[in-house]
Order: sequence, then structure tokens, then C-alpha cells
Amino acid sequence: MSTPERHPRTLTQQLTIAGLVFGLLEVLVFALLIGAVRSADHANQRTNGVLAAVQSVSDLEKSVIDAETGMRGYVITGRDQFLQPTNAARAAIPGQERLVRRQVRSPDEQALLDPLFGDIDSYLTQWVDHAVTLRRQSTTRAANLIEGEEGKRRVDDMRAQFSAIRTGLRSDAAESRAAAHASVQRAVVAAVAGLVISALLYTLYNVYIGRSIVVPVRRVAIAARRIAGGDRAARVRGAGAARGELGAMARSFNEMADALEDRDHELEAQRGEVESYTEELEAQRGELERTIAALDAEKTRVQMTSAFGEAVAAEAGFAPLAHLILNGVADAVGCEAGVLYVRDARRGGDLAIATVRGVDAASLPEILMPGDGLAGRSAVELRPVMGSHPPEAMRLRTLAGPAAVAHEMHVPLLQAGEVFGVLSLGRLSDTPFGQSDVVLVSHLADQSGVALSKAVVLRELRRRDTITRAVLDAAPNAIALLDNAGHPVVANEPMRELLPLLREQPVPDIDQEVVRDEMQDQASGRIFTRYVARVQEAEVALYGRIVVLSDVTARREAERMKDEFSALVSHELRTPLTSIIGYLELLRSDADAEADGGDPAARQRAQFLAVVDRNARRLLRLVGDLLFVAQVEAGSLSLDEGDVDLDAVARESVEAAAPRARDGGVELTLESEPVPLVRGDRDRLAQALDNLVSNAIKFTPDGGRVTVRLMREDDRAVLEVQDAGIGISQADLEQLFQRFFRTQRATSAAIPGVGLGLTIAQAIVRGHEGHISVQSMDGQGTTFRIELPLHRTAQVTA
Amino acid sequence: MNVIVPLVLLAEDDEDVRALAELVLRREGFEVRAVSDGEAALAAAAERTPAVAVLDVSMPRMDGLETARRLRERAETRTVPIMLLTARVTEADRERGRQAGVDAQLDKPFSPAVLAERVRALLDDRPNRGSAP
Repeated sequence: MSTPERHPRTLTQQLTIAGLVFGLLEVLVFALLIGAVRSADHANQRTNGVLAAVQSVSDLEKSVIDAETGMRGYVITGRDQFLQPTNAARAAIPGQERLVRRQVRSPDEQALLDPLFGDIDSYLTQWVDHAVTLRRQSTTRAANLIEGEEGKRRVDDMRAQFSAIRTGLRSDAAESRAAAHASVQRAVVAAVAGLVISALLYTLYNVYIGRSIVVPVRRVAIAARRIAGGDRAARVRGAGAARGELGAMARSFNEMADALEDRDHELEAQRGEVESYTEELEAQRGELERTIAALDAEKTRVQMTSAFGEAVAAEAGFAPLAHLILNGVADAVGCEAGVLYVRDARRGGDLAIATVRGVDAASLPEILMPGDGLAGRSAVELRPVMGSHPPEAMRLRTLAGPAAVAHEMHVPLLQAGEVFGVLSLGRLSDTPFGQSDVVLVSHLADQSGVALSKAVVLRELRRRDTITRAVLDAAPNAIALLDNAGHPVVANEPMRELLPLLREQPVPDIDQEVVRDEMQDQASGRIFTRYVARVQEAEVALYGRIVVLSDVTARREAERMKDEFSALVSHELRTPLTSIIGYLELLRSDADAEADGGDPAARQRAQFLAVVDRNARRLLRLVGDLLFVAQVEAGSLSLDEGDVDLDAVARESVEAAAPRARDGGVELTLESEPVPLVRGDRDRLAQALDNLVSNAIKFTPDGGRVTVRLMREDDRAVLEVQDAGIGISQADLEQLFQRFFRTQRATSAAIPGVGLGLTIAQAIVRGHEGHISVQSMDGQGTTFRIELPLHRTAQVTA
Repeated sequence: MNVIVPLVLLAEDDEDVRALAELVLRREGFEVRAVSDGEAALAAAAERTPAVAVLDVSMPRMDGLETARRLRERAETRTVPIMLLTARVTEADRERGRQAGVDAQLDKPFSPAVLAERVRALLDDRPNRGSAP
């Protein structure tokens, strides 16, 4: 700072003097202005007073006229109401006279007042009152009075006086108005002069201020701006010569600038040091920020994956879980499109679409084949596979329309090292998948794997359970699985109504693998065959017994009725046949003896009896066949087993049929080779062969040939009956062994028979664990073939 | 020579069959006691022990099987040969006959000659079993 310099006038003093001069000038102008205005005001007041006096004088004149007019009205009419204005005027006039006397100031006019007031008074008292009084006495006189000149003269005289006063007053008012006008003019002149002088002074003052204050201040400001702009060498020019406070300020500023420049040099030196520090700090800060960002990202990732894991673990249903996984992963790495393939047992374990995101599932192949495309590659190579496409190259049909996938990633879902799913993700935006995306998706895929594989197993279990239940419920038998305590673990629909029966008659705790027996429900009388088997599956801790109940009540009843019917028919048919055949035999032995005597009549009788006998036996055979078929159908065919010499059977059969063959002109021959004894029912086997031979003869025309063969083939004995008959059509062959079936040809050729022979032969052969077959060429004869095992496995009743 | 004529007890409910069998057996030289049911047969056998009993299986009141069992229970008739006439020809029927202890079974309808032959054969098997005087 510079030392203060003594000077006659400082800036403050200069400003103070200038302010005082300016103030005095203003006071002078205002004083002039106020004097002019006051003078104008006075003149105006005087004018107003004169104008008020004119009004009062006019009011007084009007009252006099009113008094006169009212009096005239009364005199003419005589009605008192006309006197009211007169009376009112008379009451008002003294007040009005006083007002006029007060308002009229000018001595000229004041001199006129007294004569006027005297005239008014005398007019009222002497003329008006007189006229009123006179009217009360005489109308005529009063009328005459007012018609006379006296009254009129008096009134006119008064009017002239009033007019003179008013004229005087008006000239006074004009004078006052002129005075006021002059005053206003003076005030305007003073105001204009003041204003001009003030403006002049203000300009001068501003010029002065500009020169003495603004310029030095601006110089300081420019220097300050330059210093602030970095120009430490900047100084205020002419500071040394400047005076007053501004000079001191300029000098102080320059000193400050000097000091600042010194400090700058010092700071410059320090700055290098500080900058190196700053750079180091900057580096550390960047490091720290990256660390924080990384920690934040890690925290978000951990929160997200843990939320994802919880959500996945909480979901057991396959479809919602698949949906959750695909969308969770796609959201985590910002993918718009995605497909989740999972192994599907219903599709042979192939990778099938489980769910999609943003893609129309119908546009994708239903099955992902391993090695097929990038997704298939990830399933084969067991690692994430990624791919990028040029814009618009990979177009997908999405639910929102076609879209282009820019980047795709496929991650295999593994369980125990095996692929059981593939997670395919697609990004529409051109942001390639980074390593962190791959890590995150792999991590989430690992998290999903266990839950998803569980859901797959659960879905498969449910499916199988549904199938098992449907199959069980559809079974006609009642099926239950009992635990070791005998409580049902599973019971199918038919079993449910039988559970009380199971409680009533508990299933025996069996040692052996399988038990088959019968049980009867005492309450309903129903009979069941019972099958019990042990169930022991240690792996799934399943121990118990499986029970199958089959209701055989109806079958038993049918069998019983069939037996009864068979017995009845058997007895009722055979008993009369016994009499017929027995007596026939007696008759025939007598008749034959007589016929031997050569009597033609006796011979004819014997022939007739032979016909009756043959037909009676035919009837008997038919009864036997019917009963046999009934027994076979009832499952009660019994075989009287023994060792059978088939050669003997064949021979007897041929011998027995020989007479019939001869009668039909058929050559019947036997070709037999040695065959071991077979186990069986001799009579039944003979019956079967008889039936075939009998048929062959019946269907072979005259001159034909029937051959019976016995031979051995491996471990079978074979009986063949070959004819040269009419043959059997292919359609008939299929039904040939059905009971009561007869071929069209047999019927049309009227060949006797009821269609039971082959049925019986088949039942017998099957009863011996054998096989019967037929070969036929249309028109070229038929061969029936019976094969019987030489070594039977078991004794079987058909 | 005082020829002892063997007595055949014949039980058959069908009148015609009974008459036929009786005729055949008489022609064959047997004495025949013919009845129409099992109870009557038992009464006749108690009255006079037959040399042979020929019983129809299906009879009212008491069938042939039951009658045969009763005859076997009695001391006097325990050894009398019994032949069943049966219209039921299943193996089960035959087995029932054997269970009842009969010696022979003849299927209906039968040949009169065969009937006579079989009865003769039964008597010949037991030459010592004549009818009691």
C-alpha cells in the first residue's frame, strides 16, 4: 500500500461539494415553483368566492320571485296552498341575505346591498302582505291591486339591483381568474428553467465523475482481469501520478500484483512437485473406482444368481421351471431370444423343445439332433458354443415378427457328465457375448441342472404312474399290492370294492413265490380265484404281496349248469335209445334167422330192421358227439390215458370203414410204418381218426381213393388221411374246425353230417398236445394231418 | 342134477329198459328179481341175497351208486358182484362208479347180448358165490 498523500481536495470532498451545489439549486427552483402555485391558488379561491356570491344573490332573487308568484296565485285562486312558496321564501330570505352579505367582499358591491335589502323588506311587508290581507277581504280589490303598476315596478326595480350586483361580482371573478393564470404561467417558467439547469448540472457532474473515478477504476479492472488471465506482469498505468483514493488504490494494486508475481514464481516451483503427487493420486483413484465397480458388479451378480437359485429350487413343475430358467438366464445376459431343449422320454430321450422365449416354437425343429448346428455342437462337445452373424443374416421368426439374431450362445446342461439339455440364447443387438457372459450363463446353467433333471424325472414318474394306474384300472381283475402288514399300498378300481373282503379273509403270508387258490365271499357267495405273489424289491424298499382276484362266480355257475344239462340230455336221450337198440337187436336176431330160411318177406323185414338199427346208432353217435362238444366247451373233457398202439387204431379204423368205402365205390388203403406207443386215450384217438376217415369217404366220389398213413417224423407220430374228393375252398378252410360248420358243397351235395366231426377231432388232438391241420386244392382232394408228440410234457386235460 | 339157477337183482326205473333186461337175462337162464329203485333193491337183497346185482345209476329215491355203497356195507351182500348201467359216460362218472365199489359198468344203450355176456362173466369170476338156498 502507498502512503496517504495530503491533497487540498479529496474525492469525497469533491463529491460532497458537488452534491451541495446541486441541492441548493434544486431548493431554489422548488421555492419559485411553490410561490407561483400558491399565488395561483389564492387567485382561484377568490374567484370561487365571487362565483359562490353570484349564486347566493341569484338564490335570493329567486326567493323574492317565489314570494311574488305565490302571492299572485293566492290572490287569483284564493287557495291557501299557493301561499306555501310565499311563506317558504319569506322564511328563507333573512338567511340568504346574511349569506350574501358575508360572501360579497368587494366594497363596490357591498354598497349596493343595503338599498336592495331595504327594498325587499318593504316589498314583502308592504306589498305582499297587503295583497294577501286584501284578498281575504275582497277578491276584486286584491286582483285590482296586483294588476296595478305598483307591484310590477317594485319587482323590476329589485331585479335591476340584483343584476347590477351580479355584474359587479362577475367582473371581480374575471380579475381573479386573470391573476391565477398569471401565477400559473410564472410557475411553469420557473419549473422549466429549473429542469434545464438541473439537467445541465447533472451532465457536467457525470462528466466530472467519469473523468475522476471511472477511468482510474477501469484501469485497475483491466489490470486485474489481465492478472486473473495469467499475465502477472500487468500493472495499472500512471498510478504514480494519480491522486486521491483512486491513486492509492492503483498503487496498492500494483504492489499486490508485484507480490502476486513473486508468489507465482514460488508456486511454479511447488507445482511440479504437486503435479507428480496428483498424478499418483489420480492413478490410485482410478484403481479404486474400478475395484468398487467390480465389487458392485460382483454383488449384483451374486444377488441375482442366489435369487435365481432360490426361485429354481422352489419350483418343481417341469413347464414352469423350464420357463423360469430360460427367462432368468436370458434376462441376466440381456438376450431377447432363447430356446431350452431338454431330454424327453416321450420322444425316445431326444433333446426336445421344453420352452422358448421370443421365438415362435413352430419355426424350430422339434428335436435337436446332437452335432446339428451350434446348439447340437455344444451338446456333443459339452462346452458353451458361440456364434455371430452379419446383420440380417440370421433371421428368426419371433412372436413379434421377423428379427435378426446378431449373436448366439449355446450352453449344455450337464448331469453327471451327461447332456440332458441345451440352453440356446440369442441377442438381437450387436453386442458380442463376453467372457463374463459365458461364465455367468454356465454358472446359472449349473444351478438349473439339478432342479431341471429332478423335474424331468418327476414328470416321467408322473407319466408312468398315470399309465400304470390307467392300465391297472382297466384290468378286469382286482389287483392290489399289500405291504408286509397286509395293508393295501395300491388297489385298482375293481379291487376297491373288494378291500373289505381282503380284510375279512386276509391274504396268507406266503413263503413260496406264487400261490393260486380260490376263496369265496361268504356274504355275497361270489367265488374268486386268488393269485398271490411275493414282491421283494430291496432297492426301492418294496416288500409285500401282490394279490389278484378274478371273479369266477359266473363261470362256475355256467359250468355247473352245463354239467347238469349234459347229464340230463345224456340220460334222457340214452334211456329211450337203450330200449330201441336193445329190442331191435332181439328182433334182428330173430329176423335174420327167419331170413336164412329163404322167405323173401322175412329177408325184407330183416333189411328194414337193419335200416332202423343203423339210424338208431347214428342217432346215438350224434348224442355222443353233442355231449362231447359240450364237455370240451365246459373244459371238462377227460381222457382215459394209457399206452396207445396207433397202428392198431389205424387198422381198426380202416377195417370199420371198409364196408362204407366199398358201398361208395371208394378204394380205402392203409400205409403204416412202425411208430412207438403214444400216451393217450385210445378210444378218443380212434374217434378222431374215424371222423377223418368217415369224412374222406363221404366226400370222395365213386371210383376215388382214400389213403390212411401212419408215420414217424422226428419226435412226432403222424396220421394222415388223404382223399381225392371235391376239395375245400380257401374261405371254407378257415372255418372248417368250427362246430356245426358245413361247407357249401357238403350241403348242396346232400352229404350227411351235422358239422361236429372235425371239431371233435381237433379237441381230441389238442387234448393230447397234438396238432391237426388240413391242406386242400380245389377239386384235387384234401389231406388231414394229425401230429401227436411221442413224449408228452404233462398230463393235460383239455 | 339139481341145477342152481343164479338170482340176478335188477334195479332199473325205466319200465321198457327193465323189461328188456329182464327178458334177456331170463333167456340167458337167470332168475331175475326186477325192481324200480334203489330202496326196493336193498329190500329185495335183504330178503334174498342175489348172485349178481345190476343197478341203473339214475333212479328215484336212491340212485345206483348209493345202493351199491349200501350193499357193500352189509355183510351178506359185501361180496355180491355189482354192475352199473350208466347213461353218463364221462370219465368222472366212471370214477364215481369205481369209488362206490362196483365190479363192472355198462354204458347205455347196451347190446342185450353184451349184457348177458357181462353178467355171465361176473358170475364166472366168482364160481363159489352161488345164491343162498
